[in-house]
Amino acid sequence: MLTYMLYSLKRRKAANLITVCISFLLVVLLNLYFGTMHSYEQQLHELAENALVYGRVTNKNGSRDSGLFISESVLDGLSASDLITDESCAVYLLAGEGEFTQAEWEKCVHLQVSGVNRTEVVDGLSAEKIHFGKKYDESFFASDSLVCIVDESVMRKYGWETGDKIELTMYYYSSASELFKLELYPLGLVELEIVGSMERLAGVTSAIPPDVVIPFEAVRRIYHQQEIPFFADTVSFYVDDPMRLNDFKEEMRAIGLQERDPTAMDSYIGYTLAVRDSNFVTMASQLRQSIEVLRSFLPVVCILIFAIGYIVSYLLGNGRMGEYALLRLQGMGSVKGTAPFLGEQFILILLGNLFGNALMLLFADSVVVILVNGVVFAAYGIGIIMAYCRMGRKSVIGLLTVSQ
Amino acid sequence: MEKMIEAVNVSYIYQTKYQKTKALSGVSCSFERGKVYAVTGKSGSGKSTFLSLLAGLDVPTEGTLNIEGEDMRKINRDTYRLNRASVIYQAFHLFPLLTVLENVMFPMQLQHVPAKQAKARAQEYLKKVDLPESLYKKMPGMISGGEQQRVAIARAIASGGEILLADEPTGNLDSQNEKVIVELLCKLAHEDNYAVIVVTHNEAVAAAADVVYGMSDGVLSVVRE
Repeated sequence: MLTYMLYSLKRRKAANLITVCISFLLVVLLNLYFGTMHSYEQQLHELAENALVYGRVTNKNGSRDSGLFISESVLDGLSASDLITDESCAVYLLAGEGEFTQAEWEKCVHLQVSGVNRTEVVDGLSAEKIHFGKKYDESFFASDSLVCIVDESVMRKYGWETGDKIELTMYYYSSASELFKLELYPLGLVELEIVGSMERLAGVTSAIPPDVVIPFEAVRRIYHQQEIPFFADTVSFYVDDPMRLNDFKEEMRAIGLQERDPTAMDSYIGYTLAVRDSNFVTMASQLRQSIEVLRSFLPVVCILIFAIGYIVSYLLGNGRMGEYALLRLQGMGSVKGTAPFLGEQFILILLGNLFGNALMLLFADSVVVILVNGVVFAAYGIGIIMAYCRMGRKSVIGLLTVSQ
Repeated sequence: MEKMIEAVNVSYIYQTKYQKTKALSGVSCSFERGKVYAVTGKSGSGKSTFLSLLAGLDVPTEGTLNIEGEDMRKINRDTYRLNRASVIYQAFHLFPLLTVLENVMFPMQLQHVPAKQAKARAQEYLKKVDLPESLYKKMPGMISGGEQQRVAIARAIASGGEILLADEPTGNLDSQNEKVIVELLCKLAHEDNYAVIVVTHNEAVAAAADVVYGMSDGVLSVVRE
């Protein structure tokens, strides 16, 4: 059986070369098909990693995303969520040095104070512009200690130094009984240690820069100590895994964030979720659609390969029925009589695959090449087996009579 | 002499989806070693079908065909063709991809005879059928019909069996080659003790046989014993 197969491989050069070429072309074409699909899948995967989906809390009609009243329940819900990352929170206060009475506040309150949890929350501020003292570093923003960093010009004006302890009387904004009107309320006298300075930000951005920056959690602590309900002014974040955008939106709904309603009245209450996901959704949808289209062709591709395998083997087998009959006549059973032709075909496909793989490995991903081999051997192989099974069912008497 | 093959009331029906054709009807006869049998008859009389049954390519629809007392239905017919019975045809039926020598070696390779031994024996059989050594490495398509039929006979005897079946072995040959082949077949029966069964409508071939059967419409009758 093996001997006959080897003779056949050696002596049917033209037919064998054609079979190898068909297999080679199939591998190349399939590599292009699977390669494109794989590339789209990779792009989708990379899109999820690279395309940042930014979210923020706004008022109901989406017109404001800062200077809001964002409740602690929303803040806690966001902090507990695994689906968001790089959460940025800020609360804005006013302050004056030392202790003074309520009547004196307009004369004494000149300092803009921001409670933030990250450097970037302060417009124009970066790590290079902050000069911490010995005890502190970037971890300052995550602290809940009563510490602060102060604008260099403010420090010069007030004669403060890093390491000094300063007393500030703080005021917070709260909504007045009248609609859309904010009023200032005293938060109390707070002693803060200056742990660093920041370069002057005035003129760097259009926003009014803070004179004093305090860790966000420290501000929250002060509110709690004073037993005043805490609200954040600004909250923004990134979606950790954009591929789970629907899960994320579901979770946001569960923590009380609603969908934007452009027709709603203006307000300062922050309970609406605004997500900049349109680009991501568009790109992801396009990629998903392309992948789906390519995937939907997979059964057709498999049937096509099967058909090619079947037709090629059918035609080759038809031309070799006489040889099959002779093998049977020599005493080989139907399975043994078919095996040399089947084995020969598989060796030729294997050769075509090897050449195709060698070429495609230069361009394609190895995962794609493995996938292609799997499909070729499965679909094409089934086609070959079915074609040669037909040979095995042929009547030897009939074949020998016909060839006479 | 011991009966090598015995047909008892053998009938055979070709059956397709649409029709049934009775090719053999109640055939009874026997074949012994050392003799040449000729089965004569017109085309379509059923003689080739009978030969195919003797070769174990199918089994009778009715009746039994015994090989040295064993029912053909109960033996492995592939092994039977491999080791005991060989067939030669009018169209020679040599492997087109194998050389003359490789064609004769082939049955021995199937019997797992070592290559060197198979080659030596193949050369011996080719000498026996008077084939010049210069043709051993030629492909079958490159030699004449008479030479091809001699190679087919050499391949038939290479399997080491004792039954040689021939279906119109001289049908494609000229009278000179016909004579050579008939002499060869007779030699194999009389000298090497083969049971040689030849299906033919050639009178010269029938004349050389020891026993002649006639086949008409699937019914076998004795013409000469």
